[in-house]
Amino acid sequence: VHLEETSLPGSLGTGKMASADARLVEQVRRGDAEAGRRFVRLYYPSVYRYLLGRTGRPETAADLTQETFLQAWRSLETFDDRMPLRPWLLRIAHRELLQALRSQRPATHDFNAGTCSLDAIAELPDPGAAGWTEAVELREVLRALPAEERELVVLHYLDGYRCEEIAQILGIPLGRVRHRLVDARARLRRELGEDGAER
Amino acid sequence: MTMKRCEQIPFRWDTRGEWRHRWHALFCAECRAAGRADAKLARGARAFRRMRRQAPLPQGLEAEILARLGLEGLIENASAAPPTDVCGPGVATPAGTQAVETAGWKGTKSAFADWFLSLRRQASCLSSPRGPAPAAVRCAAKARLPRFSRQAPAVPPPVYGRVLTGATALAILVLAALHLPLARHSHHATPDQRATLRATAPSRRAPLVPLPARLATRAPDSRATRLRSLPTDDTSRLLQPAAAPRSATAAPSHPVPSSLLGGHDAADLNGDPVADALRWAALPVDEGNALEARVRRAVRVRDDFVQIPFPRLAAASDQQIAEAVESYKREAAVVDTRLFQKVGLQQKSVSFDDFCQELARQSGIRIEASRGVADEKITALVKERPLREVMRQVSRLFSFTWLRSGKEGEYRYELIQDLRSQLLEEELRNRDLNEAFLAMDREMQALRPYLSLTPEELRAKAEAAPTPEQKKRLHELAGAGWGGLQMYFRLSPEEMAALRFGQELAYDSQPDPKERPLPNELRLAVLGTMSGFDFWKQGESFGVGPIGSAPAGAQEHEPKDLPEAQATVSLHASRSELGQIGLQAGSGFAVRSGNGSAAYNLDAVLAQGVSPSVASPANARANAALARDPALQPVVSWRPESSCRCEGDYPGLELPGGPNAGIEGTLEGTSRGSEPVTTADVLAALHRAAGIDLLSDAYTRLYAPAPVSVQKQPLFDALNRVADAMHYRWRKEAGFLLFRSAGYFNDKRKEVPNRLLERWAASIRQHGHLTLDDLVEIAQLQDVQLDSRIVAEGVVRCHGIRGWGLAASPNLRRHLRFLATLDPEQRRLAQSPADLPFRQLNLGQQQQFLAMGFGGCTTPIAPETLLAARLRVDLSMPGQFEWVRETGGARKEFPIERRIRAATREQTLAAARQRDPQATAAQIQPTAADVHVEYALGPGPDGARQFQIVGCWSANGGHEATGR
Repeated sequence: VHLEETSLPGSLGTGKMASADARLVEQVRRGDAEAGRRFVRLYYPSVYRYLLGRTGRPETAADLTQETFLQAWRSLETFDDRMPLRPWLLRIAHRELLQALRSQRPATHDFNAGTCSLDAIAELPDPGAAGWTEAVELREVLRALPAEERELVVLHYLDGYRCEEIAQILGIPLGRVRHRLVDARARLRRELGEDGAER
Repeated sequence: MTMKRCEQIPFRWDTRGEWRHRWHALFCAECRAAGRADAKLARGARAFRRMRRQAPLPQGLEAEILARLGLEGLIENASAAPPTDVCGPGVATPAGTQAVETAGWKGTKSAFADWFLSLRRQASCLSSPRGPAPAAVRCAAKARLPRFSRQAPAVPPPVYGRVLTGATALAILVLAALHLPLARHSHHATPDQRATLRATAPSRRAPLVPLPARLATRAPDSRATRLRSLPTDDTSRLLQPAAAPRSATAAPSHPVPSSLLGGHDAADLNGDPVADALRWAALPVDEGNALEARVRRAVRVRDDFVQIPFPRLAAASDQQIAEAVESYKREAAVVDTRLFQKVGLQQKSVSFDDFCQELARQSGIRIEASRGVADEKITALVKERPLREVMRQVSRLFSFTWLRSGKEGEYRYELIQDLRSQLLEEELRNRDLNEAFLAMDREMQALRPYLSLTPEELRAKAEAAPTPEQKKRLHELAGAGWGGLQMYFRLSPEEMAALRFGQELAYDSQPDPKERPLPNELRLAVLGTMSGFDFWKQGESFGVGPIGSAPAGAQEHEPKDLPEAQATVSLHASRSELGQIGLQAGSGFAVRSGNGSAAYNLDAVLAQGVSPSVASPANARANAALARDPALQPVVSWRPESSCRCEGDYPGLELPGGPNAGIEGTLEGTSRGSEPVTTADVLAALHRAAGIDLLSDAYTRLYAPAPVSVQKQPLFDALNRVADAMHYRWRKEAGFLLFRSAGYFNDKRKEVPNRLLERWAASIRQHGHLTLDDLVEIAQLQDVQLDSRIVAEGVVRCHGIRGWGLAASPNLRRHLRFLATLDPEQRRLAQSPADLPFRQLNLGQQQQFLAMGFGGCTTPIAPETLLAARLRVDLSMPGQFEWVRETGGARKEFPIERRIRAATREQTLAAARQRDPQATAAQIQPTAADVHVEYALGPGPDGARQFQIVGCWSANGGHEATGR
């Protein structure tokens, strides 16, 4: 099992897709309402699920999804046509999420820096079905990760984004993404590996 | 597998061959474990992705996003919603809008007719330089398509607008000529067809405009954009059950006839008479309620903490009902984005009235508290949170509802408590009372072993008791409590019910009609409990009292030695402190001699009961799920700062020995010596230490600082311990810490509104003390408020309302309430040296005067004494000095006449010496808070005046002196 260079169906960013995105954005910019509808229809499920995965609350995710599209709609002129649309949207979603997190975090609260206030909205979704022990176990382990590493692990392993895309989404250097992923993976292995060794 | 550096077995990277990797993977346990970890991680990730794929998207989210982007007219799935078919003139329905807006590519028959007419009109315009053909215009006008006609040039349908250009115009003309018959057919459309056309007419909703223009006109802060979702449930489905019962009684279920949609008069006149009649028939109340309940269940309000008033239904027609449902659904879909703005609150124990005013001030939104909740109190310590979050948590914490009304964009919010919530509180009160009774009964059952002991045996047991507490308790049981103990275990179900309802059960060995018979076998034993008292007789005089208090030369008898002595026992479940029950027992004796009688009684508290859930909220168990919450792990310390710095006494209140005093002391741990702190003080300290936003109710309670202080303790443990000590329950929701009193349903009934406390405090600042009017006003509070010692202590210590106990005194309370029936001028007269003459009272007041002053007198009142009857009130408050002329120990003179008051000791002495040269400085005493009310009759035939003075003395709470 190779986890370092995961390439999952959710991963986007090829030149062909980017050009299709560029065409779509251009149509929307021209005022094509049908293109606007397609823009929403194509991308709101992934944005919503991205936010649902981080907030754990359908209502919050829905609200943030709306905010994301509103922000994207406003700043459509700033979209770089050479880049894929989904990471760009997810970056906006990520900002909205951070903004929501900040609004819930007490200003003078000096709690454990890695995990503070995430309990409120950053829980992973409940699998909702029996038998998904792996998902449950993984969720528990992910909960123990610091927020930054958890974000990366979720984006990379669960959402299937490549490191470059994650760097773009989170707005941090690629090296830092890789470095954090290594740390997070080591931490996960410690948690999961020891457990596995005992068995 | 990608191998990584292993710490246990140093891994030397070798690029030449793979065998080293294999060897390493074989022998390194850590790497083997890591491999399993990777597999496990991958499995977990796959499960997550599977789960994510299966996670349903929220219904209507796409529609909401499109609506916020101004693209609502293109929502395809709106066509999935069945047309409501209830669109009257000017009423836009989704179906109607959809039909027109998509007419260009959907091609329904009616829509095609509309579209065709518009094309034909445009074609006429193109073909004739003088304008459109009159027939076509007439045709379009009769088809009632003005809006579409006006809007068509500005906003052409996406496809056909482009088609209608240049060279295609000619082809359209040909097409128009070929389809002329169809236009004629449309011109002669039936009323139903016309109605269909009207139903498919364009709505008032703004049509699509080019995107850049739309974006350009959007306000910069259009984050506050309304959110609308198209209805996803079928209105007709909601209406279906409602129509069924009506059809059974009045009319069959039917579709709304087109005649009701407005149109041809003949169609109206010839329509279904039942359906037409329904327009004017009122909807039955129960049916309306059922409909409302069904719609409220089916339609989710987006602002989930908000309640939207259901539209009022004046008639029973389906059209009205459908419109009402649609209106409700439209309102329910709106999210007031003004509530996203952030507010910060630092409010300790403020009324909801003030709380809402502060929210309104910060947000600019009209937010109010309804009259029912305006006086309840809240502590809100919040740093920059969206207003909607604060409102939601307030709603959840207090079970209140925000009632939204008004127009979109100008909504006003009113905080209400609905009837369901009020009934729930009543239910909780009843349950709490039952549990308190059970707790009290458990305590009584623990005394059952003493039931078979005589008072003498109990006294012997008390002497042998190891601890002072047990000794005292057993002495109480051997004395005043013995009779009550015996009778409690003999209570019939009816008597137990009477006890639960707060009645006092009085037993007498020679009962009068109001009393119950005391079993004969208990008479001597009860009299035996009064062994420290005796009955004395000297000539015609007689009396009872402690042994040794009889006049010299009087004959003394122990009660049990007197055959005529009556034994009395009483039981009373006191609920003076709501939420607590104290079983009070009384034992005594009475002796009749001649026309008079003498009696002596002793009281004891047998048992006390508090609901266990209130006494110990068990927060650690209730919040076990939060034990590992990272936000609650930091080690914190706090010590609350007291905001109660008012020293004060409690004139009129029995400080020690009340039926609930022991429980109160145990519960609150209040120490009068230390500076007590309130719940809000504790929460403010918590907020400072932990930095977490919190909301709490606020009731008057004082605590000693020590039990509610925290020294280097994890926040979770500290919350549990302090909340338990305060008898609060806490929980954490959405980043808020929420606190609720465990017995809030009782506390809220005892609480005194801030607006009244502030008014009385201002009066004290102005006059130096409470005025008679203030006392009269205080006395009009409810008994549960005045009876509460917890509240009284808080009112005095935190608000500085000294003299509260005067009005709260049970002895004086009813007299002050009588004074409340007087007008201000009458009260002024009663306080003046001129007194208030009886004849200046109205009939009702005169009757009350006699009942209050002489209601218990057996001597008839001579009518001539009423002519000179008078009412006097004397109010004294601390801060002055007074000289009381001694009158030989007899209190047969009203205080005003025998007291001289002045601001200083010297002034008082000088004034006193003008009346009595023998007055000395030692006779000058500081004044105490006291009220005396004198009911005096005029002189009788013998020249004597009959009067009664009711006072409240801080020494023993209340005093009545009757003389003649």
